[in-house]
Amino acid sequence: MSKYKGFSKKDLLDVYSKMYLSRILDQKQLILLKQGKGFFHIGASGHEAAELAAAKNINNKTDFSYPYYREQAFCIGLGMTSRELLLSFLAKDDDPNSSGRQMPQHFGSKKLNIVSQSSPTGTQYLQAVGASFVCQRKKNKAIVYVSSGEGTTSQGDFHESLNWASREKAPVIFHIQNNKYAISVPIEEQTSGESIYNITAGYDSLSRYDVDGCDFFESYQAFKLASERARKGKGPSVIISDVVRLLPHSSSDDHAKYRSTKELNDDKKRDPLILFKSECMKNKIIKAKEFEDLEQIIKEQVDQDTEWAELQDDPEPNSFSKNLFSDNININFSNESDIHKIDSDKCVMVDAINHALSEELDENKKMILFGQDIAGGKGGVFTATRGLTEKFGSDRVFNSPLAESSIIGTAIGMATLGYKPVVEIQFGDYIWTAMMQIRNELATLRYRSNGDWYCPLVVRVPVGGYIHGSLCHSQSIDGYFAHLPGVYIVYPSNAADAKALLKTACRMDDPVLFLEHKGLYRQNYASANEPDTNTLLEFGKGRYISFGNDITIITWGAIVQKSIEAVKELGVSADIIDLRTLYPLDIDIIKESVSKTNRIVIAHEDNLTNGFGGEISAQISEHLFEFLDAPILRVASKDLPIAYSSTLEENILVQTNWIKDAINKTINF
Amino acid sequence: MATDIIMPKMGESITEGTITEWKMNVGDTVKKDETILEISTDKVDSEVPSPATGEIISILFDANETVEVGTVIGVIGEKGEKINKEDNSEKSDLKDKDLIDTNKNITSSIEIPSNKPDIDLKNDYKVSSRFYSPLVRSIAKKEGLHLTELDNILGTGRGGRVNKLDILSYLKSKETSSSHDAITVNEESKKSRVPLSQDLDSKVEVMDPIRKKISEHMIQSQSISAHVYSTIDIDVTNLLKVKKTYSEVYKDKHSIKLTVTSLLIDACIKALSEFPLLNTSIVDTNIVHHKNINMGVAVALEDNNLIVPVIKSSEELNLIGLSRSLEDLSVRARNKQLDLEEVQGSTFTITNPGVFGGLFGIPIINQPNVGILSIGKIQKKPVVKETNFGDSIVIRSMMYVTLGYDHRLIDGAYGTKFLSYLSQVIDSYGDKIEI
Repeated sequence: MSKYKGFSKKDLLDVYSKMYLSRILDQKQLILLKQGKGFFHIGASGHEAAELAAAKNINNKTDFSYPYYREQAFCIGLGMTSRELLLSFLAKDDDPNSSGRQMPQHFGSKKLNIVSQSSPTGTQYLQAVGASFVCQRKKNKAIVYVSSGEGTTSQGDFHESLNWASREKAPVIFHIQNNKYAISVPIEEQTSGESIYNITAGYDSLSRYDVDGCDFFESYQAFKLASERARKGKGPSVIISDVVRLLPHSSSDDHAKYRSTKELNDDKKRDPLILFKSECMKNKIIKAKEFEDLEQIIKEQVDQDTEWAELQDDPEPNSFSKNLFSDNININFSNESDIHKIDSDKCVMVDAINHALSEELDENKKMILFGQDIAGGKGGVFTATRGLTEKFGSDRVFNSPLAESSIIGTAIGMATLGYKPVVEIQFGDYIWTAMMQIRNELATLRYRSNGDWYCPLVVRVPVGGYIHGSLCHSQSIDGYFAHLPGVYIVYPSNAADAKALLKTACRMDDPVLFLEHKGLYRQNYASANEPDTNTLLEFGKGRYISFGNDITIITWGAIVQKSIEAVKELGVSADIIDLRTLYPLDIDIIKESVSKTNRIVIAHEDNLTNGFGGEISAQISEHLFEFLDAPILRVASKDLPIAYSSTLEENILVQTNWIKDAINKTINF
Repeated sequence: MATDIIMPKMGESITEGTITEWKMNVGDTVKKDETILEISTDKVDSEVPSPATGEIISILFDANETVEVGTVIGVIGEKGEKINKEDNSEKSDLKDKDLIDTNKNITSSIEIPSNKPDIDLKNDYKVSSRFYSPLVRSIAKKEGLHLTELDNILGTGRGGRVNKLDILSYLKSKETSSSHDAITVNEESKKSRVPLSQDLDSKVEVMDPIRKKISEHMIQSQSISAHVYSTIDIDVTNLLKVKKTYSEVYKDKHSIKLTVTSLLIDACIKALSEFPLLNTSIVDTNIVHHKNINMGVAVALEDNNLIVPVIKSSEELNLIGLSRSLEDLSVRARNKQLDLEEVQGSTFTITNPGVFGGLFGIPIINQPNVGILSIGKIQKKPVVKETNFGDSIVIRSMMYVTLGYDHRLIDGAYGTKFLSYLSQVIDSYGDKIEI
């Protein structure tokens, strides 16, 4: 039989059956929802043709996909079954998308190379670009597919991702499904010139396609061209599909409140399923009866699958905490008491960090470094990465665009596909533009996919003050991130710990936020005999800087030294504990010390309110109340921005005298 | 003529007894040998039979009072008779003295709980006008300090607050200053204090006399003997076979139960005959070799207590006699019908936690014995046996047996050889057993 536009009859029936399955599943899920069997649904009705056209050009074995929430039909096209989708809708344990952890239509499938998707609009683009960098490095002609609605193109991440993808000629296809509404906001209130096509002009190697997304055949041609282009290494494409939204935004929305009946009826006339059927019938490829029979079979199948899915197990109640972090840490850790008793050359902290990175780049060929100014002769504004491009090449140590979300987002994508990005955010003060990527993506990927996907990257962040850095080069960020489940937080106080902890961070299977105090980088007191290349410190093991009986000082980062000075000047007998990591928190060492001294001062550089000291204090009073012989005192910086003038800064950031006062108060209570 | 009711002397080591219940009141008529009260001592709960027929004309100590052996606790006279004050003057003087001593004992040994069983120490510290830190409170609780005591400690903290150092130095000075008469008092108070401090929500209950005595004996034994243990895994398959084969016969012919315990006692007696040093007592630096093997058998009672009836001259009994004695003693032990002499004079003891599922026990020696045998649970296990055809794995009934013994006298070699011999005896049980 002759082919129609390159498709056999069998191909076309297959395409239609998948579009129809998606449509019927939308209807079925809405019924179940109204029966109280589910809580949320977001439909693909009207988008099926464009999505099937895309799916037909993606290889579910080698390519990777980042589909957004309106892409049920794409996922079906890639091989997701009605049973799997119904398991997701009913939040069942066997749901391959998230085991009932995410809302329905938050797709993910290890089997189909669909990377678990979260809810924020726009975070997926940079991750897809990062993933496409990995494909590029593998040189296996694999590509990455990422999609969103037209509203999401207003997010900065979209433009960041177009920029970096173009810069690298990355093998990635951006699919923008323009149904003209972002929930209730029409495109004229959304996008300059009402044209995504126009606003994406100007990126050097970016190919652009504007297609009728209701027309499967037209859409298919665009994806064919775009994917071939990407596989040939010619660069990324953006395909804007003009589609209709036949359902309200989600089951929580009523589009009659903001769309006219006429407009809704006009959309129905462009129903991609009707258009597809009539084109096939008009060209006498498939008869009406054949479509009817197919539809009947699919309907019955969905009914049966629903009955089956309802009988499947809910997630085990006690599984709720699983897969926040990996359970398997296969690292040969060093005996922590030894690492400060070694006989070797002294080095300052920034050099220790540089050496750790260099050693780990040698150790792990999949490890890469990027960030702002980190490459070439500059080697980072603090020289932590000096010489590393020269040594390991610009493929492995390179500069990122000046965009923090780009750094974290692409790193997530690369880490998800097996690389080990160790990235630098130049100043903690500027990490905030990457907050969405950190909070909703980096920290949650393993949990939300129930362990199927994870992104073990290391984010190195210079932080802290005492350097005349003023408001935006002095910030402490530990309090913010200690609130975030899913990320390890390391904060070394000296060169030896920094090296051994950073090397561990580079080998962990989960994200690590590695905080480096820029005031300690070249301090003599923070320098140490350099541990050797095999020295790795376990996270969650605090260190006694000194032993005493009268009081415990719990501290970390730059305040360790100030605590040492305070204790020395007062001549008191004190346990000084350097926590070294805030997550995990070494509650055992605190317990041990507090039950001996019964008096505690917690000293940290972050400002007082909601600083991590508050959490430690709370844990002590919850668990160790009966050991307290005095109130727990916190020494922290003032709840103020950090001012530039020395006289002002000294009154804002923690000073040794403040710690001495607190020790005196506590001991004399 | 009046007859005194006297606290009986309950064996050579016993110095006092506690009245658990008067069955009669003043004015009741009583026949000789009729039970008039129940007492309790370290070993047994016992009924005290009336020494005479007549009327109870006086009761001198109430229930729950602990009285020295030999003390007059009541008087029986003719109907309507009054106590002859002159006749009894000497005795009543003694009684008064005893009474005072006894009261002193009670208050000093039982302390707070006997007076205020529901005392809530936490609330106690709360009513103080002074502030105490959580640590000071918890130390005070642990050490059983009274509020008044705590309130009188001089504080050196801010505003005169009592801090950790203050309370610790107070406790230290208290310890040294009261050391003269405190050796026993402290011993006593420690016992009752330590558990009290554990949990404020706990209910305090005074130990019943038997439990008190068990507790004292156990502590005493641990401080007297140098406990050491050896354990052996014994194959009891043959023994069980014997038991199975003969238990019907024993039941029909002798109307007694043939039990694993009686077979084990039998084996143990045989082993003790070979290793007589385990059937001795130590008195100062002398070794007392006992002529007979008086086998103590620990019996668990329903009220959570423990009693050790003794099969006297057990080596003279055959298996029928042993089984009969064992059955009789354990039934009467559970019914609290044992005579005093039936719980005294053991020269070796067997305890069997195995019947409750214990794999093996680490028993405390029953003074003045030098050995105690703890029987573990019997369980089927795969065992490697050497046969003519090579090594093979067979399923056998195995049992751990632990010998606890006094290292002052018996060394590991001797103790372990005893166990090996015991194992041989048990293993050699076969069809040739004498019945």
